[in-house]
Amino acid sequence: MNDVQEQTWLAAARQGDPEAFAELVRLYEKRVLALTLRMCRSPEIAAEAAQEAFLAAWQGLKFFREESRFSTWLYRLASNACVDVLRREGRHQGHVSLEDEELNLDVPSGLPTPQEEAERRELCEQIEAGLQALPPEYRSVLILRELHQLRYDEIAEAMDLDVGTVKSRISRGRKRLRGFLLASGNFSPPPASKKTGKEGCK
Amino acid sequence: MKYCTEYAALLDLFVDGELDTAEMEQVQAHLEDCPGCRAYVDDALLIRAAFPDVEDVEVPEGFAAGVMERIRADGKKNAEAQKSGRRWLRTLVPLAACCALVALLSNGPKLFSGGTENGVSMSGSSSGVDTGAGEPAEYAAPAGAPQETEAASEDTADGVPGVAAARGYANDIVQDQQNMLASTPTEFGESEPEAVYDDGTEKIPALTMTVQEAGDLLNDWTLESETDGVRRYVLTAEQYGTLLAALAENEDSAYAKVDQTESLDGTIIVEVTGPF
Repeated sequence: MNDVQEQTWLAAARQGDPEAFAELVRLYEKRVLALTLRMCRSPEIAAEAAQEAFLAAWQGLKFFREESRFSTWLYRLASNACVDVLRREGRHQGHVSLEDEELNLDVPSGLPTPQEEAERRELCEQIEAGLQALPPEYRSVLILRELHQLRYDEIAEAMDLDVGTVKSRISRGRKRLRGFLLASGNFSPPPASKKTGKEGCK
Repeated sequence: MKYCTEYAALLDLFVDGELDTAEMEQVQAHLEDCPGCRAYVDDALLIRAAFPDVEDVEVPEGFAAGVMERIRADGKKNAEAQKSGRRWLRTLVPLAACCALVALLSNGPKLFSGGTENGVSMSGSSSGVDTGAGEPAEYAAPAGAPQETEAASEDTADGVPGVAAARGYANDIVQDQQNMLASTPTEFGESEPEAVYDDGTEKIPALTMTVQEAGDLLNDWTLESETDGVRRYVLTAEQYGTLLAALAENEDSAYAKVDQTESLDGTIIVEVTGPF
């Protein structure tokens, strides 16, 4: 799939061609669902939010600025849809304390087994749990950065934030996620520096 | 081991490739000497490597088809809502025009008939709209207020938004007309004739005749008073015209040459002498 094809579908969809828009749906459904799944946790709610995001995209095509990337705009709609759906469902996927005993932290201590895929899968599950423990505003920017590889300015556009806010939220979100994983035992403390033997750098 | 404060703000930018070349080199050099910062960067890259992949996402069966179906359903709902709005207008506009026409036509004096204690009644208009003077408040809807459908009662367009607004306009005009007609003596319709002028003085009788000469016509006249065997009758213009016509049939009648035009304004007093 190349950008030219996507632009062709987008231009046709903006003229009201539903089949062209259906192609865009098929092109982006995985990426949008990847975002909503991490935002909503429940697959059913995530699917509903993704559907609403595409519906909002269809209805708002005439307002879409061509100088923006369609993907960035779509992620924004998806993020908004998650908030709306979760609000309707009365669920708050907000911050969960690290002391929350409901979290499944059943992971082996120390370094994982040599099998790379199993290790990655296991860590992946913990990252999923850690993401759910984050406040939504931190979670969304981290997902756009790590899952969709958006630049800071693209995230700022998608979330209607300034770049400075994106920077601080990514930094705080990543630090919290790291702290969650460290508490779960997935990361081993780094060895002490041979030079200083002290924390940090002097 | 914690990363150092001095480089805390740069580490994430380093991990995300948001630094320029000079800054990247500066951080890289620092990482060589700072285990705390190095650990943070290593963990961040490990998270990235293990982060859920888009390709790992399982799309529910028929997801795209479900989206398009919902788009179609939404479009159909919007189209029906627009059509309903246009239908509402197609009913309201001619109805409002009809009510306005009734109001305009009701200004024409010859269309009035009947009377009430308050003045002229407007009943019996051809459109069936009852703009009776006794119930103005029911239709006092502001112009362009489509939601006051409760005002509809005898009207054939009950429940149609905007009817009350159209009626309100028509009723205002009608009410003005009623007020105007009630304040002036009228030669039209069946209002009760008055035997005095506006300043209260008694009207001078146009004719004085005997009861025999009046004959059966007396039955339709309004008796105003009787004094010393003389009855004062208040006649409408129509009644007076009938009387004169009857008198004119007899060329030998003393009233044959009564000026028949002098009493066309207002009511006419005829005195009839008895015995009754």
